[in-house]
Amino acid sequence: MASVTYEHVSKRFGDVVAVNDLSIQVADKEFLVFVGPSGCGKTTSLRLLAGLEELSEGNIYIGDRLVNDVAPKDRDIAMVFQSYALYPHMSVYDNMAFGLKLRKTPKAEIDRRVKESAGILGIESLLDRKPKQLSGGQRQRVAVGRAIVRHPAVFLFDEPLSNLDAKLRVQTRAELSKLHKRLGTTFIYVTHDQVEAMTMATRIAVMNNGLLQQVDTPQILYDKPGNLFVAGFIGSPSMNFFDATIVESDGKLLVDGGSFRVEVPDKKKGTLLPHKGKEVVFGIRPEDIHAKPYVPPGILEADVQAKVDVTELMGNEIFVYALTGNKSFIARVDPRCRARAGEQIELAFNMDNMHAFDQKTEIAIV
Amino acid sequence: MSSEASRYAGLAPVAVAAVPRRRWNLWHRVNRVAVYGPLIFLTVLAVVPVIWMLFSSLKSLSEFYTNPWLWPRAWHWENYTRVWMGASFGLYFTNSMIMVTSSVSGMIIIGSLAGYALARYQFVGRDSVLYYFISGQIIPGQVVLIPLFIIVRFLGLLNTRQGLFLIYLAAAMPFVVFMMQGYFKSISREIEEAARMDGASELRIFWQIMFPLARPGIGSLAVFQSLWIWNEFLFALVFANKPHLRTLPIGIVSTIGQYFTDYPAYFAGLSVAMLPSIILYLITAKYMLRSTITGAVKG
Repeated sequence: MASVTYEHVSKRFGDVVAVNDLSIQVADKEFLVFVGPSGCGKTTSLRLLAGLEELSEGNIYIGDRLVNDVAPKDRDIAMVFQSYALYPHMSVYDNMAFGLKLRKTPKAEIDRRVKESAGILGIESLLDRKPKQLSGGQRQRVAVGRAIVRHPAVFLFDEPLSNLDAKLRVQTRAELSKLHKRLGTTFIYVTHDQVEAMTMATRIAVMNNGLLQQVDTPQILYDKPGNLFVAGFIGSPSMNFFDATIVESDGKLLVDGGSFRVEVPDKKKGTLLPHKGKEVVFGIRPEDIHAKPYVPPGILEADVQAKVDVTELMGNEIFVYALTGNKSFIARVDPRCRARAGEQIELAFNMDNMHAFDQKTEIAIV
Repeated sequence: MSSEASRYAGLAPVAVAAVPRRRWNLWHRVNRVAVYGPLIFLTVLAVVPVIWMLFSSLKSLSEFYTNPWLWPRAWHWENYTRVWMGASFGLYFTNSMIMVTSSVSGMIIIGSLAGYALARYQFVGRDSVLYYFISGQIIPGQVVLIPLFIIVRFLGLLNTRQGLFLIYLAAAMPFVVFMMQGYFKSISREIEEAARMDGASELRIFWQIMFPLARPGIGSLAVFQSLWIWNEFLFALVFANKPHLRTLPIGIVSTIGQYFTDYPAYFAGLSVAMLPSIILYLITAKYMLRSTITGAVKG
């Protein structure tokens, strides 16, 4: 068990800056998820911690120990790779025991630990099989087993669920969360899937273009995204953005989106008032847009007229792709809503959950 | 026209479906003949001489001249014992075996180490080294025969097994290194990294992980190189032409006399010489056809 510290870490591949001045502290027993689009530097950050890449600048600590020049095997970490990277010519047992054998662990202890880990993961019956005789989900378990058998201080996961089908991914996600609780060890996990990040993480570190955008708990990232990128990346479907101007009329502060005008709630007025007359990016999540008359009680609603472009019935809700002016946006509305493509629809924005971002810096205002 | 269409509207799908199927069948047959015809012709071309050789090896000398094309009227198995007992055939066979096993082992060990280093490690001049090896493939052995002879004689290795071993090693190295580096490149880097994180040293990663994973490549290379050395004539003739060092190709050719040749015995010798190649292929075919990497990574 150990904390992990990235201190002004940078990694360059020639002229390409993969990780740019990353500083982050991961507490002991924390489940930190690096999330971001392809090429954002999340996997490189993990590989730097694993010792599979050399740092260009900065320091990495595991616990209090500076590990910049420590070989991967001596960092007391274990990693689960995206492709599982099992040794195909070895049995499941040997795959799991390989690391322990190299550390000259006594045979009886190896046997005990392999069987214990196999028991945790439910793969006792597979120990004699070769990787090619296993399904994708079983291989994934063996890869996790190979990591936990060593009792490392930190576990690293590099998109371990991306090769599983949707159903198995959901199931394995829950199992990994349980495993984290059971082992009580620091987990650092990389994924491009924000749903995985939201469901498993203690904290999420959102990255883009090698830069850390924001690191916080899933709920805070969702409720208070620090900038436009985080707001757009966290949440599915992603947040709707409109170019808008903050205006004042009849003593009310309004967001003027061209084709609609909605009132800013009192609690957000103070923050938005200095931006009066300025252009901002107005953001509202699809789940904060409701179809009339199915508006939940107790929200501060602002009415907006829109034209339905496409509807997608999801069973428990409908995704309405609507147009206001020439701007397209998505609303997750009540399934009782009978909106059809081409029809006008009356929507209500929940202004309590509105967001506004500076148009130049893209940093959140509210 | 429209009434015609409506009358047959119900039948139309059946009629429309039937015509293309017939056409497809015909096309399918033409296709099969076009594919299998040349394949069968090539197979006959390869197999008939072998059968002819086996038949000839079992005939008496007089029958060989009177019935050269058909199967033997009487089967003379003693041709084989005569060849094996006389004409130092056992010695040639042993010499060939020694050269094949030693040279191929050397090639695989050195070639795979070099190929691995070229495939996986970053070092100054790596590409130049690779190009140097590749360029070795474009020089035919005959061109360097005389300088090679001078060097080998200078080193005192003329008419020694060591000399021939080194020549085979050097001659095969460009191809072996090139193939092995390509093969190692195709193996997922994550497997190697997983071993590194498990605590394996570089040498252990190579011997315990990468080398076993490269078995299909190594197997096919070993067969390929074994067949080459088993049949190699020129280097063996020039650099190891003492009776006690002769390999099979040289030994068999030496049975051809100026005025008399015992052809059935000669073909019996060839048949025996062919046997190890076939056995080797049968043993290693699975390595060449099936990849053991299946299951290592996603999929």
